[in-house]
Amino acid sequence: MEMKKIFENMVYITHILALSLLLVWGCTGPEVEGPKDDEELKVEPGTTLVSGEPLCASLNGGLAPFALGGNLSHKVLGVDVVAEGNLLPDLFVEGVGGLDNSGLYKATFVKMTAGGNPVYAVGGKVTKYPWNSSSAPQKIAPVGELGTYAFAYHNGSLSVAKYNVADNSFGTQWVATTSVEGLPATAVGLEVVGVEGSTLTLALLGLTVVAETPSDDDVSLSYYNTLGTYRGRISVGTLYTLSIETSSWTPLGEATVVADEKLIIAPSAVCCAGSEGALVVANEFGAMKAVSAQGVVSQPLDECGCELKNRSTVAAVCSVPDGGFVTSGEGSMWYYAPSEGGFVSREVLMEGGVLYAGSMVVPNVVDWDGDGRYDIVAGNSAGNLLFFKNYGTNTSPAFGVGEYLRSAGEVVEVRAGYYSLGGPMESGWGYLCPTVVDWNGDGVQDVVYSFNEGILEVMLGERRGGEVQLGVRQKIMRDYMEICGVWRTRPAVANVDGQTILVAMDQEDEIHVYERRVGNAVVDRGEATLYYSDHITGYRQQVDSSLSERGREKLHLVDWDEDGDVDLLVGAPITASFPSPVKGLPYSRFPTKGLNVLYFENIGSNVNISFAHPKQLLFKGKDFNIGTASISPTFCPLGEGGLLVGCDCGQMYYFSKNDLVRTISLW
Amino acid sequence: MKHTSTLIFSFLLFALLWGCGEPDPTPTPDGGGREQVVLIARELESNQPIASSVERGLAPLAMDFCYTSVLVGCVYESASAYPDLFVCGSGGLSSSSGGRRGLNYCQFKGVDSRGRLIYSHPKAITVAPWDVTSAAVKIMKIGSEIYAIQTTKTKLNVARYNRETMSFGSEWTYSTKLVGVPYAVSTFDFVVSGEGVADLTIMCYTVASVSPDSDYTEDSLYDSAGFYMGTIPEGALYRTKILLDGFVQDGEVKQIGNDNSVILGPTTVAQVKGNDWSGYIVSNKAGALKYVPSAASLDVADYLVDTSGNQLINRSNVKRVSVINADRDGLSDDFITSGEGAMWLYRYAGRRNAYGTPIYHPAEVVLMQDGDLFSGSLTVPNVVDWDGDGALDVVTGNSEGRLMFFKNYGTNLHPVFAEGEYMKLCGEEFCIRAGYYELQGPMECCWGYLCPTVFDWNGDGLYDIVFSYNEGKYMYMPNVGTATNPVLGTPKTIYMDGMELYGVWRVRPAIERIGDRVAMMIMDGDNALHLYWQTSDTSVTDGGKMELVDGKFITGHNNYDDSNVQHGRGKLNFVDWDSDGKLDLLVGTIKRSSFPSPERGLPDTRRKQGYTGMQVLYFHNEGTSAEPRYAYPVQFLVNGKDKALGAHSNAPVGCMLGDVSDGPNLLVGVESGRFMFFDRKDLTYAYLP
Repeated sequence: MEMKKIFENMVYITHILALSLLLVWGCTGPEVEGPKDDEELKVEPGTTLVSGEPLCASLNGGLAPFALGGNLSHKVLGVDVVAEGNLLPDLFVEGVGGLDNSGLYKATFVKMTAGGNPVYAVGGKVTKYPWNSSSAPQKIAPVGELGTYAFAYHNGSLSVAKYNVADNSFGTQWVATTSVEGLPATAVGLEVVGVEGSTLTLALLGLTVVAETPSDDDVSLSYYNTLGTYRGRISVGTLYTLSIETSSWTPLGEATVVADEKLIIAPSAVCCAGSEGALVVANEFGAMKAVSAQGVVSQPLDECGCELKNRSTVAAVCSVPDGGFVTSGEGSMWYYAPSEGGFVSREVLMEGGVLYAGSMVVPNVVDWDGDGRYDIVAGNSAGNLLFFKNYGTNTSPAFGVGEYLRSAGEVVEVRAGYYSLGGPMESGWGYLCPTVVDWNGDGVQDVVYSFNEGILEVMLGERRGGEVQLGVRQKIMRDYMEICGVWRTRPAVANVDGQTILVAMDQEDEIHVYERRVGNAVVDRGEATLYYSDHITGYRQQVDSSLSERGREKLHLVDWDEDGDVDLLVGAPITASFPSPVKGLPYSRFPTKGLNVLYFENIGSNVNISFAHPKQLLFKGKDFNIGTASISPTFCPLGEGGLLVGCDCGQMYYFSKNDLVRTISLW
Repeated sequence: MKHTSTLIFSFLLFALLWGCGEPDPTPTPDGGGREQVVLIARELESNQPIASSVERGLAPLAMDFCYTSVLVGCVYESASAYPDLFVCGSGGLSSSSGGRRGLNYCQFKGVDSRGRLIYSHPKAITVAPWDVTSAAVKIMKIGSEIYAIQTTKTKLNVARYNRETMSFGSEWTYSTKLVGVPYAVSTFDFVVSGEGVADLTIMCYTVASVSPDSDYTEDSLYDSAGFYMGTIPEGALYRTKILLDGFVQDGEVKQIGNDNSVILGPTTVAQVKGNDWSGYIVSNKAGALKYVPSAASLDVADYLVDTSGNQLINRSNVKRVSVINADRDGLSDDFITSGEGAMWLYRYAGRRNAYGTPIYHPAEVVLMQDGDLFSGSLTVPNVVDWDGDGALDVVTGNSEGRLMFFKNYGTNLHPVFAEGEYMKLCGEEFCIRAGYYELQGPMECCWGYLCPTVFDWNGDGLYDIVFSYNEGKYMYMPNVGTATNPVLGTPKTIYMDGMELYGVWRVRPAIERIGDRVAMMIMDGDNALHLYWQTSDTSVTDGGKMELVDGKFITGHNNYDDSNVQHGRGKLNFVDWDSDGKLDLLVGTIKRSSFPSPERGLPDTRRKQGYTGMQVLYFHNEGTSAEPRYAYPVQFLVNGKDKALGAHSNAPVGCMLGDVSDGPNLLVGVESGRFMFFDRKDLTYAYLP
């Protein structure tokens, strides 16, 4: 064959190969959930490491998942009219729980990235509104040309408040309050379907069965019976429509049910979506259903034709005029854009944001991808595992939007499921608490973790094509039995002196030591000791009012004092009391709230571990509060070295070790 | 001959097995790898378990119609190479009902082409001074005599065996005192250690098992923090000397080492001895195997490992490790485990690890002659052409949580089943277990009660496995291979509205395609039959509770046994039993189930009247396949009579094996791991009184 033909064939084959790869890529989906800019990632100059501050995003203008900052979750209540020139409307977002920034805010649309991620900015806080927590609206939405209104339905009564864009408020009085017939007492979702003339059509997601928690005098009783069946009730809901006369805001007749009374369990929200004006209902567990105007129920699909899942736990949803919708809850907010095959989900972002990993973040600073730069791998309350690649250096790291890691090919989503300590309504949470370490000594990072169930597990890593790929979940066992400890704790693991030591909180909420022996089998080394004698517990004296109040500690083994022996750092909730229920940190210092990181110096050795009394770390000699429920410290070799501490609201604070020299102790 | 009416065909089938492409995992003394298996075609016999088609009827050694077979003694009688066995069958049917409950003797008959041990069919030993259905004895040869030994905290009982009468007599030969045993005895071992003296090793409960104060009705055994409210037992090792002259204690009872928690949930201890090492193997209900050196030089017991460096697991649920006695070559380094399921031989690999712990080859199953197809306890079969060769095979789950495949080398009319293979997931044997949160407590963690339904769940034309198990959740494993080379993919949970689909435990779902939809029936949280419709690979939507023709829901529990763990366990199967074009329902139940209502139902109402029969019910569909309405159930009779198959649930499946000219026949998986075949012409019904 002539050389020219050979060359032409090679080019042809290369094109085919490239096309095939693209097709495969398209079907399996992109691995990175962050921005899809075609441009090369731009590392912003400046430092992301400021001692005492959360890590900032420093790629492409500091793009990070949208967060008000300091909240446990977000609730997107609705939208305003689309401003001229904008692709998407501004959002009304409520910050829920956390340290600060609770309240209702306007999030203003900035732009759409080339990858289809909407970028918003935190606008002003809504100054006034006529509702409180028990009369809050289910939806804020434009009503034709009339303006933007808030709609609140409670116990047979519909209230309406008008938004004043000039002062960013809803006033102090409802515009109207009217009685509605034909609806159950509680509606968890509401949507403005459309306006025709002076007739407004609303859709309401009403509860036909209200959730009920078992009421026991004895709080030590499980919510489940002998068969593992929940003893309470899971809520159930269905859709209703209601027509309203807009001149008086009065109903034009009773509400009408449009779907089966058991449309969906644990309903949470409803919105319009799709080009045909269907309604999408969401629930607490991530499920979504589409209901047509004729009441036909179907399953919304993603762009691959698979069942569409809501990536926000405990979701609120609101529609946007392009036929898409936005969901929110604990973790990132997501925009679902309509496309030919189905909806495409993209994280909602902000510029100049802090690194955000979902609520109750539990970070690890490790070189995950083996490029010599320390990255961050973190778990969160939704049960996901995120990888923040370091595009900078170990001195000046640069992080952006986290990538959702996979286990056995599926996005990691460690969840309680039906059997959750708080009942099935909490099944959407996982509280993944990972420690990234080489568990099995093969030179590749693994993920050892506990979660909602208090069971110890591991996902083994395998290096393929330069990437670490995680395998299926496996149990860590003693005597071929699962090890069950208190819930939501992070186990500490260290490879020391040829042994792999695992330190975890056991059923008694005591620090317990295990040694890995073969595979995932460990032998029991007994409870950790204080000065070679006393056990170390983490609960306070009054905690037995509810056993699920125990746990939540985040353990980390590190040679903090650099004497060659591993010490222990414990991130403790404010309610914890180390080392004993009677006198311990941090609870004995309450109501003083500090940085709830405790340092246990190892006064023994790596083989014979024993600890001194704990000391609470101070930041520059003072108490520094970054959260009370979930504080997760990990050694951070970035910059000049120190700690990275994950907190309730999903931020990760960096502390230089030089600023943590001083401590406070009770002894 | 066990099966009196077995016809032997005039030809032999030779199947050349190459281990299905896998290397032989069990290095045998004569090598492994390529092997030749001889299958003998045997006709299906109605009202009989499907017999093993392997030459000589070789099948895993298990007592007939018992779900537990515990090795209680090894004695070198028939041969010097390997011992004869005393095996206790417990749980299941008594001899009057065709079972082997009680003590049995199995003679060593040789080894197969893979070097696996073969034993005779068991012979019953009926006379002994202890309850022969109890495995709390050890039987051994001391000198020329055979003795049974039983140990309590304060006594050592010994009975001598009479070979002629095959009896241990009705009284203990010796009953002597034990002094100084500090705790209740879990298990023991007794080994001659010198002239006229033996070592008595005792595993004591340093922490006793305490069950929560629960009547198993409403209150869970776990508290609001998810912790078991009882106590998990722990054990420590002690030893003393026994003089063989009179079996009297000689010396103190001393602890071996100082670990008071050698193992959680101890069930067995066995002394092992190699050329230059000796120690104790301990095991527990969960399946751990650990080693304690005689010198107690380790501060904690170490785990046994296999030749690949993996943790060695006791493949027998619930129990015993029996070391093959020292007579053979002066060493006692190999051992057999037994309990629920098959019995397994572990051969010492001739080397030890860095801790001095002996390393073993992976387990080999112990066989018997004239056996039946055996798949472990509480088997739940499916009859499908799993490997796409046109012949119906059997795919089944068992109480261990394992999945087995019995390939049919014959035809559907005259099937010839090979020895069962354990099916794999990602290269490892698939096994699902309850784990810590087991309804009856963490010590039951070794069970899985896998209840599979083989069905093309994802509609790609390949059989998948949908299953439930101990936890009452539902999952499916897709076939990620091909029709002729199926490969199981990672299990995925099935959800409804984003939450795990949940029902009562140990239920096999009935699944069938109806029109363009797939229906799945389970038993829900109310213990009622409940239909769901598939909406995607991992989702279903509610189709409502099932109703009788009179509109009443259909539940499975009785009205007097409040214990919740009696709920569930139904084995559901869609089949058009009467060939009227509509899907009917077969339900396998437990002894005290009461379908369709607690006040009046089958089989319990008949059982209380003294009729104990096959726990398989037939619900005729008088509605449509898409909207079923069932007649009141009837209970199957065999040739007009009740046929008891065991109190645990019977797992029925309508199958197209045998003569199906009049419609499907019936295959029932029973608690003892057998598959009972029934030609439909032999089946009639008993009605609800």
